[in-house]
Amino acid sequence: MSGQLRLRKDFSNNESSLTKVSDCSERPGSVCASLKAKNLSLHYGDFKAYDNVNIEIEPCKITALVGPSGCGKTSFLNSVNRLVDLIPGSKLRGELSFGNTDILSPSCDLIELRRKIGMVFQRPAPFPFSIKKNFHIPLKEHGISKSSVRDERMEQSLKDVGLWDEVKNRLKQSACNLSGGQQQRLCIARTLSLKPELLLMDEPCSALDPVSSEKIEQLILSLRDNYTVLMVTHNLAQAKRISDNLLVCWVKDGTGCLIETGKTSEIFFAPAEKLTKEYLQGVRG
Amino acid sequence: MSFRSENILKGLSFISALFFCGIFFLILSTLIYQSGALSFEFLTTVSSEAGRAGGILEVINSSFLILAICLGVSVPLSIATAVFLAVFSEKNPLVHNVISTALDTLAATPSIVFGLFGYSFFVIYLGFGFSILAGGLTLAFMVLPFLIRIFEEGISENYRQFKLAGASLGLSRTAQVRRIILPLSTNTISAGLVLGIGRALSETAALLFTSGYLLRMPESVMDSGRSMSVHIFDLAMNVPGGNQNAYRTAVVLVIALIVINLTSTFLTRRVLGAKT
Repeated sequence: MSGQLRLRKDFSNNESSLTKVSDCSERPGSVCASLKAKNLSLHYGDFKAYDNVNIEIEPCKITALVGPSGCGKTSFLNSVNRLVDLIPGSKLRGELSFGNTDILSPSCDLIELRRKIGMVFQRPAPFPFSIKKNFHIPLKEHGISKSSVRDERMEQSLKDVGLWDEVKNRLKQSACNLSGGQQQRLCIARTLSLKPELLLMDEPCSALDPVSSEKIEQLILSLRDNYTVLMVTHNLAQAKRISDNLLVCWVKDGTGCLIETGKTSEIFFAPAEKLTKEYLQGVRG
Repeated sequence: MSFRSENILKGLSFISALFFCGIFFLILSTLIYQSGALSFEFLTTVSSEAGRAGGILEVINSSFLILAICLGVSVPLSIATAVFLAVFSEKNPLVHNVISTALDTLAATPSIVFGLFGYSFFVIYLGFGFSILAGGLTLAFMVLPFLIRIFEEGISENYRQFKLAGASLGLSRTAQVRRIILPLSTNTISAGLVLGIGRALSETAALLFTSGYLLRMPESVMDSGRSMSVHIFDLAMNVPGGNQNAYRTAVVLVIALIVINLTSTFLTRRVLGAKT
Protein backbone atom coordinates (compact mmCIF):
# COMPACT_ATOMS: atom_id res chain seq x y z
CA MET A 1 0.00 0.00 0.00
CA SER A 2 1.47 3.31 -1.05
CA GLY A 3 -0.08 5.20 1.85
CA GLN A 4 1.48 2.88 4.32
CA LEU A 5 4.91 3.39 2.76
CA ARG A 6 4.44 7.12 2.87
CA LEU A 7 3.67 7.11 6.57
CA ARG A 8 6.61 4.83 7.29
CA LYS A 9 8.79 7.21 5.34
CA ASP A 10 7.49 10.05 7.48
CA PHE A 11 8.43 8.23 10.65
CA SER A 12 11.89 7.28 9.55
CA ASN A 13 12.96 10.40 7.69
CA ASN A 14 11.08 13.32 9.14
CA GLU A 15 13.43 15.02 11.53
CA SER A 16 10.80 17.12 13.26
CA SER A 17 8.78 14.01 13.95
CA LEU A 18 11.75 12.32 15.60
CA THR A 19 12.50 15.43 17.63
CA LYS A 20 8.93 15.48 18.81
CA VAL A 21 9.20 11.87 20.01
CA SER A 22 12.29 12.67 21.96
CA ASP A 23 10.61 15.78 23.48
CA CYS A 24 7.66 13.72 24.47
CA SER A 25 9.59 10.99 26.21
CA GLU A 26 11.29 13.57 28.38
CA ARG A 27 7.98 14.83 29.71
CA PRO A 28 7.24 13.49 33.20
CA GLY A 29 4.52 10.89 33.18
CA SER A 30 4.27 10.65 29.43
CA VAL A 31 5.49 7.62 27.54
CA CYS A 32 5.38 7.63 23.81
CA ALA A 33 5.58 4.14 22.46
CA SER A 34 4.38 3.50 18.96
CA LEU A 35 1.68 1.10 17.83
CA LYS A 36 2.66 -1.17 14.95
CA ALA A 37 0.52 -3.57 12.97
CA LYS A 38 1.87 -5.96 10.35
CA ASN A 39 -0.35 -8.08 8.11
CA LEU A 40 -3.08 -7.77 10.75
CA SER A 41 -6.45 -9.33 10.05
CA LEU A 42 -9.54 -9.99 12.12
CA HIS A 43 -12.13 -12.72 11.61
CA TYR A 44 -15.48 -13.06 13.32
CA GLY A 45 -16.07 -16.74 12.65
CA ASP A 46 -16.02 -17.02 8.84
CA PHE A 47 -16.46 -13.29 8.32
CA LYS A 48 -13.30 -11.30 7.68
CA ALA A 49 -13.77 -7.86 9.28
CA TYR A 50 -10.50 -6.42 7.95
CA ASP A 51 -7.39 -7.75 6.29
CA ASN A 52 -3.73 -6.97 5.69
CA VAL A 53 -3.43 -3.89 7.89
CA ASN A 54 0.11 -2.54 7.98
CA ILE A 55 0.55 0.65 9.95
CA GLU A 56 2.70 2.41 12.46
CA ILE A 57 0.94 4.99 14.57
CA GLU A 58 3.08 8.03 15.28
CA PRO A 59 3.56 8.62 19.00
CA CYS A 60 2.23 11.76 20.69
CA LYS A 61 0.10 12.64 17.70
CA ILE A 62 -3.59 12.44 16.92
CA THR A 63 -4.31 9.87 14.26
CA ALA A 64 -7.80 9.78 12.79
CA LEU A 65 -9.30 6.66 11.31
CA VAL A 66 -11.93 7.49 8.69
CA GLY A 67 -13.94 5.54 6.18
CA PRO A 68 -17.46 4.39 5.38
CA SER A 69 -19.50 2.30 7.83
CA GLY A 70 -18.59 -1.38 7.96
CA CYS A 71 -14.96 -0.97 6.91
CA GLY A 72 -13.66 -2.27 10.25
CA LYS A 73 -12.61 0.98 11.96
CA THR A 74 -14.16 0.12 15.32
CA SER A 75 -13.06 -3.50 14.97
CA PHE A 76 -9.48 -2.30 14.46
CA LEU A 77 -9.74 -0.05 17.51
CA ASN A 78 -11.12 -2.95 19.56
CA SER A 79 -8.24 -5.13 18.35
CA VAL A 80 -5.63 -2.76 19.76
CA ASN A 81 -6.74 -3.35 23.36
CA ARG A 82 -7.97 -6.89 22.58
CA LEU A 83 -11.58 -6.02 23.38
CA VAL A 84 -12.45 -8.22 20.38
CA ASP A 85 -11.59 -11.15 22.66
CA LEU A 86 -14.97 -10.59 24.28
CA ILE A 87 -16.69 -11.53 21.03
CA PRO A 88 -16.98 -15.32 20.70
CA GLY A 89 -15.41 -16.56 17.45
CA SER A 90 -13.14 -13.56 16.94
CA LYS A 91 -9.64 -14.33 15.70
CA LEU A 92 -6.79 -11.86 15.26
CA ARG A 93 -3.91 -12.84 12.96
CA GLY A 94 -0.69 -11.09 12.09
CA GLU A 95 1.50 -8.88 14.25
CA LEU A 96 0.44 -6.11 16.57
CA SER A 97 2.72 -4.46 19.06
CA PHE A 98 2.74 -1.43 21.30
CA GLY A 99 6.24 -0.45 22.37
CA ASN A 100 7.77 -3.68 23.60
CA THR A 101 4.42 -5.33 24.20
CA ASP A 102 3.36 -8.04 21.77
CA ILE A 103 -0.40 -7.45 21.93
CA LEU A 104 -1.33 -10.73 20.25
CA SER A 105 0.86 -12.90 22.45
CA PRO A 106 -1.16 -15.44 24.47
CA SER A 107 0.87 -14.42 27.50
CA CYS A 108 0.01 -10.71 27.08
CA ASP A 109 -1.37 -9.34 30.37
CA LEU A 110 -4.71 -7.97 29.17
CA ILE A 111 -5.40 -6.10 32.39
CA GLU A 112 -2.13 -4.16 32.13
CA LEU A 113 -2.55 -3.78 28.36
CA ARG A 114 -5.97 -2.17 28.81
CA ARG A 115 -4.60 0.12 31.49
CA LYS A 116 -1.85 1.25 29.11
CA ILE A 117 -4.25 1.55 26.18
CA GLY A 118 -7.33 3.43 27.37
CA MET A 119 -10.54 3.61 25.42
CA VAL A 120 -13.41 6.07 25.10
CA PHE A 121 -16.63 4.93 23.46
CA GLN A 122 -19.14 6.55 21.15
CA ARG A 123 -21.72 6.73 23.91
CA PRO A 124 -20.50 7.83 27.33
CA ALA A 125 -20.42 4.77 29.59
CA PRO A 126 -20.18 5.94 33.19
CA PHE A 127 -21.02 3.31 35.79
CA PRO A 128 -24.32 4.22 37.48
CA PHE A 129 -22.54 4.98 40.74
CA SER A 130 -21.24 8.21 42.22
CA ILE A 131 -18.69 10.28 40.27
CA LYS A 132 -16.10 9.41 42.92
CA LYS A 133 -16.80 5.69 42.73
CA ASN A 134 -16.39 5.78 38.95
CA PHE A 135 -12.73 6.61 39.58
CA HIS A 136 -12.17 4.58 42.71
CA ILE A 137 -13.29 1.24 41.22
CA PRO A 138 -10.68 1.04 38.42
CA LEU A 139 -7.94 2.72 40.47
CA LYS A 140 -8.45 0.30 43.34
CA GLU A 141 -8.39 -2.66 40.97
CA HIS A 142 -5.11 -1.40 39.53
CA GLY A 143 -3.51 -1.56 42.94
CA ILE A 144 -3.93 1.95 44.33
CA SER A 145 -5.03 0.99 47.80
CA LYS A 146 -4.78 4.40 49.49
CA SER A 147 -8.01 6.33 49.19
CA SER A 148 -6.20 9.69 49.38
CA VAL A 149 -4.03 8.75 46.38
CA ARG A 150 -7.12 7.72 44.44
CA ASP A 151 -8.72 11.06 45.30
CA GLU A 152 -5.64 12.93 44.06
CA ARG A 153 -5.66 10.99 40.77
CA MET A 154 -9.36 11.70 40.35
CA GLU A 155 -8.94 15.41 41.01
CA GLN A 156 -5.99 15.71 38.62
CA SER A 157 -7.78 13.83 35.84
CA LEU A 158 -10.96 15.86 36.28
CA LYS A 159 -8.85 19.03 36.11
CA ASP A 160 -7.14 17.74 32.97
CA VAL A 161 -10.49 17.42 31.21
CA GLY A 162 -11.80 20.70 32.64
CA LEU A 163 -14.56 19.07 34.65
CA TRP A 164 -13.29 19.56 38.19
CA ASP A 165 -14.92 22.94 38.80
CA GLU A 166 -18.25 21.63 37.52
CA VAL A 167 -18.36 18.53 39.70
CA LYS A 168 -16.12 19.13 42.72
CA ASN A 169 -19.11 19.84 44.98
CA ARG A 170 -21.10 16.82 43.87
CA LEU A 171 -18.62 13.99 43.73
CA LYS A 172 -20.99 11.78 45.71
CA GLN A 173 -23.83 12.26 43.26
CA SER A 174 -24.56 9.76 40.54
CA ALA A 175 -22.46 10.14 37.40
CA CYS A 176 -25.65 9.53 35.43
CA ASN A 177 -26.99 12.92 36.54
CA LEU A 178 -24.34 14.70 34.45
CA SER A 179 -25.10 15.94 30.93
CA GLY A 180 -24.00 13.83 27.95
CA GLY A 181 -20.93 16.00 27.31
CA GLN A 182 -19.98 15.98 30.98
CA GLN A 183 -20.38 12.19 31.09
CA GLN A 184 -18.07 11.83 28.10
CA ARG A 185 -15.47 14.08 29.72
CA LEU A 186 -15.86 12.07 32.92
CA CYS A 187 -15.19 8.86 30.97
CA ILE A 188 -12.10 10.41 29.39
CA ALA A 189 -10.93 11.56 32.84
CA ARG A 190 -11.59 8.08 34.25
CA THR A 191 -9.43 6.61 31.51
CA LEU A 192 -6.70 9.24 32.05
CA SER A 193 -6.65 8.53 35.79
CA LEU A 194 -5.09 5.14 34.96
CA LYS A 195 -2.22 6.96 33.22
CA PRO A 196 -2.55 5.30 29.82
CA GLU A 197 0.02 5.70 27.07
CA LEU A 198 -2.34 5.39 24.12
CA LEU A 199 -5.92 6.63 23.92
CA LEU A 200 -8.39 4.94 21.61
CA MET A 201 -11.47 7.01 20.85
CA ASP A 202 -14.41 5.57 19.00
CA GLU A 203 -16.39 8.49 17.58
CA PRO A 204 -16.23 10.29 20.94
CA CYS A 205 -18.34 13.24 19.76
CA SER A 206 -20.97 11.53 17.65
CA ALA A 207 -23.55 11.24 20.45
CA LEU A 208 -23.03 14.80 21.65
CA ASP A 209 -24.44 18.23 20.84
CA PRO A 210 -22.22 20.75 18.97
CA VAL A 211 -21.19 22.64 22.12
CA SER A 212 -20.18 19.45 23.95
CA SER A 213 -18.45 18.19 20.79
CA GLU A 214 -16.41 21.38 20.65
CA LYS A 215 -15.32 20.89 24.27
CA ILE A 216 -14.30 17.28 23.62
CA GLU A 217 -12.37 18.34 20.49
CA GLN A 218 -10.48 20.97 22.46
CA LEU A 219 -9.81 18.38 25.12
CA ILE A 220 -8.43 15.89 22.57
CA LEU A 221 -6.17 18.63 21.19
CA SER A 222 -4.90 19.41 24.68
CA LEU A 223 -4.09 15.72 25.20
CA ARG A 224 -1.93 15.55 22.08
CA ASP A 225 1.24 16.64 23.85
CA ASN A 226 1.14 13.84 26.36
CA TYR A 227 -0.74 10.99 24.75
CA THR A 228 -0.89 9.13 21.49
CA VAL A 229 -4.49 9.36 20.31
CA LEU A 230 -6.08 7.02 17.77
CA MET A 231 -9.56 8.23 16.96
CA VAL A 232 -12.34 6.86 14.77
CA THR A 233 -14.54 9.57 13.33
CA HIS A 234 -17.17 9.92 10.62
CA ASN A 235 -16.80 13.66 10.75
CA LEU A 236 -14.24 14.51 8.05
CA ALA A 237 -14.18 18.17 9.08
CA GLN A 238 -13.31 17.11 12.59
CA ALA A 239 -10.56 14.79 11.33
CA LYS A 240 -9.16 17.67 9.28
CA ARG A 241 -9.35 20.09 12.23
CA ILE A 242 -7.70 18.03 14.92
CA SER A 243 -5.76 15.09 13.53
CA ASP A 244 -2.10 15.05 12.53
CA ASN A 245 -2.24 11.79 10.62
CA LEU A 246 -5.02 10.11 8.75
CA LEU A 247 -5.83 6.48 8.05
CA VAL A 248 -8.43 5.99 5.33
CA CYS A 249 -10.25 2.64 5.35
CA TRP A 250 -12.47 1.13 2.70
CA VAL A 251 -14.46 -2.03 2.06
CA LYS A 252 -13.17 -4.22 -0.75
CA ASP A 253 -14.93 -7.51 -1.53
CA GLY A 254 -16.81 -7.24 1.75
CA THR A 255 -13.61 -6.90 3.79
CA GLY A 256 -12.22 -3.78 5.41
CA CYS A 257 -8.78 -2.56 4.41
CA LEU A 258 -6.56 0.49 4.62
CA ILE A 259 -6.34 2.39 1.35
CA GLU A 260 -4.25 5.36 2.33
CA THR A 261 -2.27 6.63 5.28
CA GLY A 262 -0.25 9.77 5.81
CA LYS A 263 -0.31 13.28 7.15
CA THR A 264 -3.83 14.67 7.34
CA SER A 265 -2.94 17.95 5.64
CA GLU A 266 -1.27 16.12 2.76
CA ILE A 267 -4.07 13.63 2.23
CA PHE A 268 -6.74 16.32 2.28
CA PHE A 269 -4.63 18.50 -0.06
CA ALA A 270 -3.54 15.80 -2.48
CA PRO A 271 -4.88 12.29 -1.89
CA ALA A 272 -2.86 9.62 -3.63
CA GLU A 273 -5.76 7.20 -4.08
CA LYS A 274 -8.75 7.89 -6.29
CA LEU A 275 -11.10 6.33 -3.72
CA THR A 276 -9.74 8.59 -1.01
CA LYS A 277 -10.25 11.63 -3.18
CA GLU A 278 -13.85 10.64 -3.92
CA TYR A 279 -14.52 9.86 -0.28
CA LEU A 280 -13.11 13.16 0.93
CA GLN A 281 -15.11 15.01 -1.71
CA GLY A 282 -18.25 13.24 -0.59
CA VAL A 283 -18.73 11.58 -3.97
CA ARG A 284 -18.45 8.11 -2.41
CA GLY A 285 -18.82 6.72 1.08
CA MET B 1 -53.72 4.90 18.12
CA SER B 2 -56.70 7.21 18.41
CA PHE B 3 -57.53 9.11 21.57
CA ARG B 4 -60.68 7.03 22.03
CA SER B 5 -59.03 3.61 21.73
CA GLU B 6 -56.21 4.76 24.00
CA ASN B 7 -58.78 5.68 26.64
CA ILE B 8 -60.49 2.29 26.26
CA LEU B 9 -57.13 0.52 26.70
CA LYS B 10 -56.34 2.67 29.72
CA GLY B 11 -59.75 1.88 31.22
CA LEU B 12 -59.33 -1.87 30.64
CA SER B 13 -55.86 -1.83 32.21
CA PHE B 14 -57.24 0.02 35.23
CA ILE B 15 -60.12 -2.46 35.59
CA SER B 16 -57.79 -5.47 35.40
CA ALA B 17 -55.47 -3.90 38.00
CA LEU B 18 -58.49 -3.22 40.22
CA PHE B 19 -59.67 -6.80 39.69
CA PHE B 20 -56.29 -8.13 40.77
CA CYS B 21 -56.33 -5.99 43.93
CA GLY B 22 -59.89 -7.18 44.54
CA ILE B 23 -58.80 -10.84 44.42
CA PHE B 24 -55.98 -10.14 46.88
CA PHE B 25 -58.30 -8.41 49.36
CA LEU B 26 -60.97 -11.09 48.90
CA ILE B 27 -58.49 -13.82 49.85
CA LEU B 28 -57.14 -11.86 52.80
CA SER B 29 -60.59 -10.85 54.09
CA THR B 30 -61.90 -14.43 53.74
CA LEU B 31 -58.94 -15.73 55.75
CA ILE B 32 -59.38 -13.05 58.42
CA TYR B 33 -63.15 -13.62 58.56
CA GLN B 34 -62.77 -17.40 58.92
CA SER B 35 -60.01 -17.10 61.50
CA GLY B 36 -62.20 -15.27 64.01
CA ALA B 37 -60.31 -13.24 66.57
CA LEU B 38 -56.55 -13.19 65.95
CA SER B 39 -54.51 -12.30 69.00
CA PHE B 40 -50.80 -11.67 69.46
CA GLU B 41 -50.77 -14.64 71.86
CA PHE B 42 -51.32 -16.91 68.86
CA LEU B 43 -47.77 -16.10 67.79
CA THR B 44 -46.15 -16.44 71.22
CA THR B 45 -47.67 -19.62 72.63
CA VAL B 46 -47.18 -23.23 71.64
CA SER B 47 -50.02 -25.34 70.31
CA SER B 48 -52.16 -27.74 72.25
CA GLU B 49 -54.76 -30.40 71.39
CA ALA B 50 -52.98 -31.33 68.14
CA GLY B 51 -53.10 -27.72 67.01
CA ARG B 52 -56.81 -27.11 67.65
CA ALA B 53 -55.97 -24.80 70.51
CA GLY B 54 -53.02 -22.64 71.55
CA GLY B 55 -50.68 -20.82 69.22
CA ILE B 56 -48.08 -21.66 66.60
CA LEU B 57 -44.79 -20.66 68.23
CA GLU B 58 -43.11 -24.01 67.46
CA VAL B 59 -44.45 -23.90 63.90
CA ILE B 60 -43.01 -20.41 63.38
CA ASN B 61 -39.67 -21.57 64.79
CA SER B 62 -39.57 -24.64 62.54
CA SER B 63 -40.58 -22.56 59.49
CA PHE B 64 -37.87 -20.01 60.25
CA LEU B 65 -35.20 -22.71 60.60
CA ILE B 66 -36.27 -24.49 57.39
CA LEU B 67 -36.27 -21.15 55.55
CA ALA B 68 -32.86 -20.17 56.96
CA ILE B 69 -31.29 -23.45 55.79
CA CYS B 70 -33.01 -23.20 52.43
CA LEU B 71 -31.82 -19.62 51.78
CA GLY B 72 -28.41 -20.17 53.36
CA VAL B 73 -27.72 -22.89 50.81
CA SER B 74 -29.67 -21.74 47.77
CA VAL B 75 -28.81 -18.02 47.65
CA PRO B 76 -24.98 -18.27 47.45
CA LEU B 77 -25.24 -21.24 45.08
CA SER B 78 -27.75 -19.55 42.82
CA ILE B 79 -25.82 -16.26 42.68
CA ALA B 80 -22.63 -18.16 41.83
CA THR B 81 -24.38 -20.22 39.12
CA ALA B 82 -26.14 -17.14 37.71
CA VAL B 83 -22.79 -15.31 37.52
CA PHE B 84 -21.25 -18.30 35.76
CA LEU B 85 -24.09 -18.51 33.23
CA ALA B 86 -24.28 -14.77 32.59
CA VAL B 87 -20.58 -13.89 32.65
CA PHE B 88 -18.20 -16.82 32.48
CA SER B 89 -19.92 -19.29 30.14
CA GLU B 90 -19.89 -16.91 27.16
CA LYS B 91 -17.25 -18.88 25.30
CA ASN B 92 -18.67 -22.25 26.22
CA PRO B 93 -22.17 -22.36 24.75
CA LEU B 94 -22.42 -26.14 25.17
CA VAL B 95 -21.99 -25.97 28.96
CA HIS B 96 -24.37 -23.01 29.05
CA ASN B 97 -27.02 -24.91 27.11
CA VAL B 98 -26.70 -28.08 29.17
CA ILE B 99 -27.05 -26.14 32.44
CA SER B 100 -29.93 -24.06 31.05
CA THR B 101 -31.85 -27.17 29.95
CA ALA B 102 -31.30 -28.81 33.33
CA LEU B 103 -32.49 -25.65 35.09
CA ASP B 104 -35.62 -25.28 32.99
CA THR B 105 -36.50 -28.94 33.53
CA LEU B 106 -35.94 -28.67 37.27
CA ALA B 107 -37.96 -25.44 37.47
CA ALA B 108 -40.93 -27.21 35.90
CA THR B 109 -40.65 -30.30 38.14
CA PRO B 110 -43.56 -30.63 40.62
CA SER B 111 -42.58 -30.10 44.26
CA ILE B 112 -43.78 -33.57 45.21
CA VAL B 113 -40.99 -35.00 43.05
CA PHE B 114 -38.46 -32.90 44.99
CA GLY B 115 -40.11 -34.28 48.13
CA LEU B 116 -39.53 -37.86 46.98
CA PHE B 117 -35.93 -37.02 46.04
CA GLY B 118 -35.36 -35.35 49.44
CA TYR B 119 -36.84 -38.37 51.21
CA SER B 120 -34.65 -40.91 49.41
CA PHE B 121 -31.45 -38.81 49.39
CA PHE B 122 -31.40 -36.70 52.57
CA VAL B 123 -33.75 -38.63 54.85
CA ILE B 124 -32.70 -42.20 53.96
CA TYR B 125 -29.36 -42.19 52.09
CA LEU B 126 -27.58 -39.45 54.07
CA GLY B 127 -29.37 -40.56 57.23
CA PHE B 128 -30.72 -37.15 58.25
CA GLY B 129 -34.11 -38.72 59.07
CA PHE B 130 -37.24 -36.55 59.04
CA SER B 131 -35.55 -33.33 60.02
CA ILE B 132 -35.52 -29.59 59.53
CA LEU B 133 -32.14 -30.00 57.83
CA ALA B 134 -33.52 -32.48 55.27
CA GLY B 135 -36.54 -30.20 54.66
CA GLY B 136 -34.41 -27.06 54.29
CA LEU B 137 -32.00 -28.73 51.87
CA THR B 138 -34.84 -30.17 49.78
CA LEU B 139 -36.44 -26.73 49.59
CA ALA B 140 -33.06 -25.26 48.62
CA PHE B 141 -32.85 -27.70 45.68
CA MET B 142 -36.40 -26.81 44.73
CA VAL B 143 -35.94 -23.02 44.66
CA LEU B 144 -32.43 -23.13 43.12
CA PRO B 145 -33.45 -23.26 39.43
CA PHE B 146 -36.05 -20.62 40.05
CA LEU B 147 -33.61 -18.26 41.80
CA ILE B 148 -30.83 -18.89 39.27
CA ARG B 149 -33.08 -17.88 36.36
CA ILE B 150 -34.19 -14.66 38.06
CA PHE B 151 -30.66 -13.71 39.17
CA GLU B 152 -29.19 -14.60 35.78
CA GLU B 153 -31.56 -12.25 34.00
CA GLY B 154 -30.53 -9.24 36.10
CA ILE B 155 -26.82 -10.06 36.15
CA SER B 156 -26.75 -10.77 32.42
CA GLU B 157 -28.45 -7.46 31.59
CA ASN B 158 -25.99 -5.46 33.71
CA TYR B 159 -23.00 -7.37 32.36
CA ARG B 160 -24.10 -6.77 28.76
CA GLN B 161 -24.42 -3.08 29.48
CA PHE B 162 -21.10 -2.52 31.24
CA LYS B 163 -18.72 -5.25 30.09
CA LEU B 164 -17.03 -3.13 27.40
CA ALA B 165 -16.60 -0.14 29.70
CA GLY B 166 -15.30 -2.40 32.49
CA ALA B 167 -12.94 -4.38 30.28
CA SER B 168 -11.60 -1.24 28.58
CA LEU B 169 -10.56 0.04 32.02
CA GLY B 170 -8.57 -3.14 32.58
CA LEU B 171 -11.01 -4.65 35.05
CA SER B 172 -10.94 -8.43 35.14
CA ARG B 173 -14.28 -10.19 34.82
CA THR B 174 -14.10 -11.10 38.51
CA ALA B 175 -13.54 -7.45 39.40
CA GLN B 176 -16.41 -6.39 37.17
CA VAL B 177 -18.72 -8.89 38.84
CA ARG B 178 -17.64 -7.90 42.35
CA ARG B 179 -17.47 -4.13 41.95
CA ILE B 180 -20.07 -3.38 39.28
CA ILE B 181 -22.39 -6.19 38.25
CA LEU B 182 -23.42 -7.57 41.64
CA PRO B 183 -23.96 -4.15 43.27
CA LEU B 184 -26.10 -3.16 40.28
CA SER B 185 -28.04 -6.42 40.47
CA THR B 186 -29.13 -5.91 44.08
CA ASN B 187 -32.64 -5.06 42.93
CA THR B 188 -33.05 -8.27 40.95
CA ILE B 189 -31.48 -10.33 43.70
CA SER B 190 -33.87 -8.82 46.20
CA ALA B 191 -36.87 -9.48 43.94
CA GLY B 192 -35.70 -13.08 43.47
CA LEU B 193 -35.28 -13.49 47.21
CA VAL B 194 -38.83 -12.32 47.92
CA LEU B 195 -40.24 -14.74 45.35
CA GLY B 196 -37.98 -17.54 46.59
CA ILE B 197 -38.98 -16.96 50.22
CA GLY B 198 -42.61 -16.95 49.12
CA ARG B 199 -42.22 -20.29 47.37
CA ALA B 200 -40.30 -21.82 50.27
CA LEU B 201 -42.75 -20.59 52.93
CA SER B 202 -45.77 -21.82 51.03
CA GLU B 203 -44.31 -25.23 50.15
CA THR B 204 -46.14 -28.22 51.60
CA ALA B 205 -45.66 -31.35 49.50
CA ALA B 206 -41.85 -31.39 49.54
CA LEU B 207 -41.76 -30.88 53.31
CA LEU B 208 -44.25 -33.61 54.17
CA PHE B 209 -41.67 -36.15 52.99
CA THR B 210 -38.60 -34.52 54.48
CA SER B 211 -39.05 -32.33 57.56
CA GLY B 212 -42.11 -34.30 58.63
CA TYR B 213 -44.97 -32.82 60.61
CA LEU B 214 -44.12 -33.39 64.24
CA LEU B 215 -45.77 -30.63 66.25
CA ARG B 216 -43.19 -29.69 68.83
CA MET B 217 -40.53 -27.08 69.52
CA PRO B 218 -37.39 -28.08 67.58
CA GLU B 219 -34.21 -28.32 69.65
CA SER B 220 -31.87 -28.73 66.72
CA VAL B 221 -31.96 -28.84 62.94
CA MET B 222 -31.89 -32.63 63.17
CA ASP B 223 -35.34 -32.62 64.81
CA SER B 224 -38.47 -33.06 62.79
CA GLY B 225 -40.42 -29.81 62.54
CA ARG B 226 -43.68 -28.62 61.09
CA SER B 227 -43.74 -25.62 58.75
CA MET B 228 -46.68 -23.21 58.56
CA SER B 229 -48.01 -24.55 55.29
CA VAL B 230 -47.81 -28.16 56.55
CA HIS B 231 -49.58 -27.01 59.74
CA ILE B 232 -52.41 -25.47 57.68
CA PHE B 233 -52.68 -28.65 55.61
CA ASP B 234 -52.71 -30.93 58.65
CA LEU B 235 -55.25 -28.85 60.63
CA ALA B 236 -57.57 -28.54 57.66
CA MET B 237 -57.37 -32.16 56.54
CA ASN B 238 -56.60 -34.34 59.57
CA VAL B 239 -57.68 -32.51 62.73
CA PRO B 240 -61.42 -32.18 63.33
CA GLY B 241 -62.15 -28.69 64.70
CA GLY B 242 -58.78 -27.42 63.52
CA ASN B 243 -60.14 -25.17 60.75
CA GLN B 244 -60.09 -21.92 62.70
CA ASN B 245 -56.43 -22.27 63.66
CA ALA B 246 -55.67 -23.29 60.06
CA TYR B 247 -57.15 -19.97 58.87
CA ARG B 248 -55.29 -18.08 61.60
CA THR B 249 -52.01 -19.67 60.51
CA ALA B 250 -52.82 -18.77 56.90
CA VAL B 251 -53.36 -15.11 57.93
CA VAL B 252 -49.99 -15.14 59.71
CA LEU B 253 -48.37 -16.65 56.61
CA VAL B 254 -49.82 -14.02 54.25
CA ILE B 255 -48.91 -11.16 56.63
CA ALA B 256 -45.38 -12.60 56.94
CA LEU B 257 -45.09 -12.56 53.14
CA ILE B 258 -46.29 -8.94 52.96
CA VAL B 259 -43.79 -7.92 55.68
CA ILE B 260 -40.94 -9.75 53.91
CA ASN B 261 -41.86 -8.05 50.64
CA LEU B 262 -41.95 -4.55 52.14
CA THR B 263 -38.79 -5.08 54.20
CA SER B 264 -36.94 -6.38 51.19
CA THR B 265 -37.99 -3.39 49.04
CA PHE B 266 -36.97 -1.00 51.81
CA LEU B 267 -33.62 -2.72 52.37
CA THR B 268 -32.91 -2.79 48.64
CA ARG B 269 -33.43 0.97 48.41
CA ARG B 270 -31.19 1.51 51.42
CA VAL B 271 -28.47 -0.77 50.08
CA LEU B 272 -28.66 0.73 46.59
CA GLY B 273 -28.72 4.23 48.05
CA ALA B 274 -25.57 3.48 50.00
CA LYS B 275 -23.85 1.99 46.99
CA THR B 276 -24.53 4.71 44.44
